[in-house]
Amino acid sequence: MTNKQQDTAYFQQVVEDNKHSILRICTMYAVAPLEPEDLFQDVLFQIWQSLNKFQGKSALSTWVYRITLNVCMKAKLKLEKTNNRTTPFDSISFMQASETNEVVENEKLEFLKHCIAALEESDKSIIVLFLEDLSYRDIAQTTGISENHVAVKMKRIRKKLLGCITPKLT
Amino acid sequence: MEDNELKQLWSQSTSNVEIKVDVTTLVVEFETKITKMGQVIKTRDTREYAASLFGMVVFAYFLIEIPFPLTKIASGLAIIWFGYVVFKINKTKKLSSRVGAELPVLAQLQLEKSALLEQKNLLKTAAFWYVIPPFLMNLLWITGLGSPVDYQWETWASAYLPISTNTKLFCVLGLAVFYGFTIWINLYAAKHKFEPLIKKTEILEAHLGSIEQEK
Repeated sequence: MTNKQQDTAYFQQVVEDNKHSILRICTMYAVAPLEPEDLFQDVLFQIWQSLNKFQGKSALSTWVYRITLNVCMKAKLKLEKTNNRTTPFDSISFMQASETNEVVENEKLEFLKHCIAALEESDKSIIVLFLEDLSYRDIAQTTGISENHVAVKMKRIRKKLLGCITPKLT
Repeated sequence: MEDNELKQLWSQSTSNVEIKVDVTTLVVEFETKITKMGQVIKTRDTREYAASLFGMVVFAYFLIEIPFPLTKIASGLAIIWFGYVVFKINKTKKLSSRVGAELPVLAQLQLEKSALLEQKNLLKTAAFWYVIPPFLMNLLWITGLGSPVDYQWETWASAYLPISTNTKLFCVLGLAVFYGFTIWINLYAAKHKFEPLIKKTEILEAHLGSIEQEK
């Protein structure tokens, strides 16, 4: 196996392991004219470009979350000079696998997304990582703030989120 | 609602989406994209350097050829200024290339902010390094133009020289308007493009980094 083949195989593994998480986060950050699929593509591009910089100081998934959040936040803040829709690559496709989800669950999900979207940007970045089931330690490593800080913030964010979603569900 | 319920609900949001990524083809597409990006940057850099080099060659010719002392001095200063512009552009390129997506979010925001601040300052100070020096050089260059006959200078430019004071004044006024517009456009970009971005970044950084407000 050549180095290039090894790199491609490694990248494939990273994509397979994280693609759904990346798409979930991109969905929360996509703002017109950008679609989640555009951000997803940009995140994969950034991961591929930076993969050789991964030093193993944190878990690979934590590193992927960092890149995902950085790319998404940059797009949201319009820090990119060209924040237009990117040309979609033929090699990435998204398909609705089934329509079997219950309407009630979809409704709950919409409430959740709506309530997350209403949070401050910094809170949003923390809650999406929490919902991805990252520990406070991993959230701290991803965001660059201390674990205690994450705990304090999470207490308040949880309260806000539940305050928003609970009345909608009852 | 419990944390686990929220997490489960969240994870379901893409459960009915099938994501297909043909990595082998994707890598080829990425490589093509990088090559294209590289070519765009290379073309832009070549254009910038070529323009500066062209300016240097033209003013070097003036420096050697033209006998008028003030115009000679202005030509020499112009060559130095073109060199300085190349140095400044290179420095700015290094600034924008150091922003890394693999850093923790807070560190990335801080780095992004400092790059934006430096770019904003570059625009705000453009009058002092990009506008006033060439304007003064042009002023000196035009003012210094005398009569070839006085210097026994045989040149194809004799047909156009000397130029009248009114013509010189007209040229200087035209240049003043042009350079004034350049200052305005730089200040406008600093205020309307960079300041809002810096402010947004600062707010996000403050919210993420500050713990005081949480207590």
